[in-house]
Amino acid sequence: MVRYDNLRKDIVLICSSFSIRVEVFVLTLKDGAPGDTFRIQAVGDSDLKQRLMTMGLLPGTKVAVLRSAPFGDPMAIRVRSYNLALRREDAAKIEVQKIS
Amino acid sequence: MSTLAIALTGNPNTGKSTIFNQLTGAHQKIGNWPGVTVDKKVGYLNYNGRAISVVDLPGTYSINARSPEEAIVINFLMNNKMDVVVDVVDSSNIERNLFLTIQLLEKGVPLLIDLNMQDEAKLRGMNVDARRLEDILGMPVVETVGRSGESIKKLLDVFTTTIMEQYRPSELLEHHIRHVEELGRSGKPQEEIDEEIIAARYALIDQIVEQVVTVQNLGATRSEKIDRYLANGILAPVIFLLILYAVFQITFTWIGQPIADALDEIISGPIAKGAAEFLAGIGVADWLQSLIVDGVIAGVGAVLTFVPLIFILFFCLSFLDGTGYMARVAFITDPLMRRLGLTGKGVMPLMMSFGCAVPAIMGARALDSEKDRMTSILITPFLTCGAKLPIMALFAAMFFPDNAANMVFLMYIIGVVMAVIVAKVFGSTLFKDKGSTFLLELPPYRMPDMRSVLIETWDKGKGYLIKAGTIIFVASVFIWFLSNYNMAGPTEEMSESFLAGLGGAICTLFTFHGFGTWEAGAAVISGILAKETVVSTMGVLYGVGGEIDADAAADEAETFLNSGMGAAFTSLSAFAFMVFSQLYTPCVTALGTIKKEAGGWKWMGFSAVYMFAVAWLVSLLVYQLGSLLGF
Repeated sequence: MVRYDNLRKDIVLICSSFSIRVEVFVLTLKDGAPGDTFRIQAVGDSDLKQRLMTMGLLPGTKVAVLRSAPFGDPMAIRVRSYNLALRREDAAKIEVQKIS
Repeated sequence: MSTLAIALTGNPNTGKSTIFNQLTGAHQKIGNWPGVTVDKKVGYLNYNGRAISVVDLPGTYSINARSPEEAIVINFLMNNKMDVVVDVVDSSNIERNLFLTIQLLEKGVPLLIDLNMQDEAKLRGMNVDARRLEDILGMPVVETVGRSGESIKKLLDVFTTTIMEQYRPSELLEHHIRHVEELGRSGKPQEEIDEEIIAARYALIDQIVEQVVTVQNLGATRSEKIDRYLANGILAPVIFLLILYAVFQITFTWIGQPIADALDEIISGPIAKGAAEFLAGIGVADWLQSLIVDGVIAGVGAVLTFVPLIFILFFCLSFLDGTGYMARVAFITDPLMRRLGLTGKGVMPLMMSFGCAVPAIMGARALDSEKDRMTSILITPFLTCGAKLPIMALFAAMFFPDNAANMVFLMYIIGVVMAVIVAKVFGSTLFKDKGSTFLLELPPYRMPDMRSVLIETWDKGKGYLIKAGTIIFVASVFIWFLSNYNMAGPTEEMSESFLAGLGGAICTLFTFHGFGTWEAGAAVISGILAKETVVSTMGVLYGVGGEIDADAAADEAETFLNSGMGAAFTSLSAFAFMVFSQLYTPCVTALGTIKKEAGGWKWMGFSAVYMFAVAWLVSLLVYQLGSLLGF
């Protein structure tokens, strides 16, 4: 997975040096709908990164999306047998792979 | 034998505070940790003839010293030799809870691990093997089920018999600690090291959990089922509003107000009259009689009648907090609060400010970003606290008898709208570059421990009692003096008193507001000491007599109307005065709290001045626009 990540970054870099814009779709926790379960691939840099990791969100951790607040944001997830609420803009920093 | 020193640590929502309250009951001392506004709770008890002291350290998820609470925990444990440090762990949430455990063990703090909420874990189909955990970590482990008397007795037995020096970290743990130390020495950027260490801790936890916990899937938990209604879809905000409505009904109609009225009757009736007769009977000088009856009893009494309201409101909110519902409130209100430049976590403190701004300002501590905290502190006093309510109730009853309740409600709305506007303005000016965060655990629903709810209610509400005994007491005497004396000594005519002079000096400020009278000016000044005194000052100044009691004031609207106050205001200027009272400078107690919580005189002065300016401007607009429109 790590190797694939690097490859992806390299492709984007090479293309951009030729002024070609490449949009790579990266699945993040933000895109999760209630009932989805994911495995975390990476936690992106942000002010919240270390706090998210401390709360148990690490590469490899399984998370399940529980629900959204009435206007779609924040979202509630189940991680390491407890429930956590976070805003979608922060969830967008968490790269995931869908399990089911 | 020396006192056994115990410290309690653990994550939030583990039942740690309940254990502390059950252990120590009413024998608690609540102070402040040096330099920060975090409560320091210490309790004392005796067990089997042994004196025990218990420190309840703040609940934290880690000890990275990123927040004041985390710094307190680690500094305290590093600098104080405890006989036993208890790590309270929620068994049903053991994975994340063990993070703090591991971190503390890395620091070389021997721990007694309390696997709490074992009952809850079983309900969720989890079985946590305490003996296995003891072997794996090399630290003593005790199992409890929260607040049962048996669990508390068991804990006390363990406290008094365990000798922590006998325990050594296991080989596995030693290995982990060496690994962490190596990572620390690797010379990589600190951030990278920190992240690798976090990962190493969770790797160890995964290893432990695999051996200790067995899970069988029992389907959706009780909390899950409740959340389908309370935190989901369109029903969630509806239920929230219903609960909010119920809290206000309980506080202001069903339970609180009847008690407040009864108390008021006793204070203004038998106590005031009894004191007057007694003092006259023993031949006390007239001025001293007047000081005691009209000054102290009337002033302090007016505040005391609000005490039941405040306590009942705080009881309701503490109870809701104990159930875990407040986290859901934060969850469902965050989208709205965010648009206002705040966070869902700020709803709870803001709700408290309908009782009293002081605990509401203190409650803002719970917000983790500086922007959220400061904005919350600065806008809180705009809301209608229990002390502003009688001003609104009196004026509404006097000048808008047909729509009194609606007018009072309108004042609440004006307060909320101003708070929202100011939050937006500050968010995009003063705290523009600061981010707002929202990361919140949604704990399982639990029946709160009544003892803890009562202790918490008392902690929050007692400030109000202290205020009645100190600031209000002094303010009452002060206002009595100002209104009964002038440069020449005692005066019979209030219009020649110091208060009249002061009121006259500032009333020109309100010439274009429709209430530029010295009486209104004097009431405004006294309101800065305590909002409760606005009504009583007006009563005194318009000579309503000894009948003034802020609280039942609405019923006495007629007395006030006939007293000359009716002629001093038109309904428009009365409305402008209500708006001004709703928004202007907070009372000295609130200002003092702002200074403490926001960190300095600067913010306190800023609050006092900007709120006065906002109130002055809005009230002016209301009066001038109202006049133009022909009201």
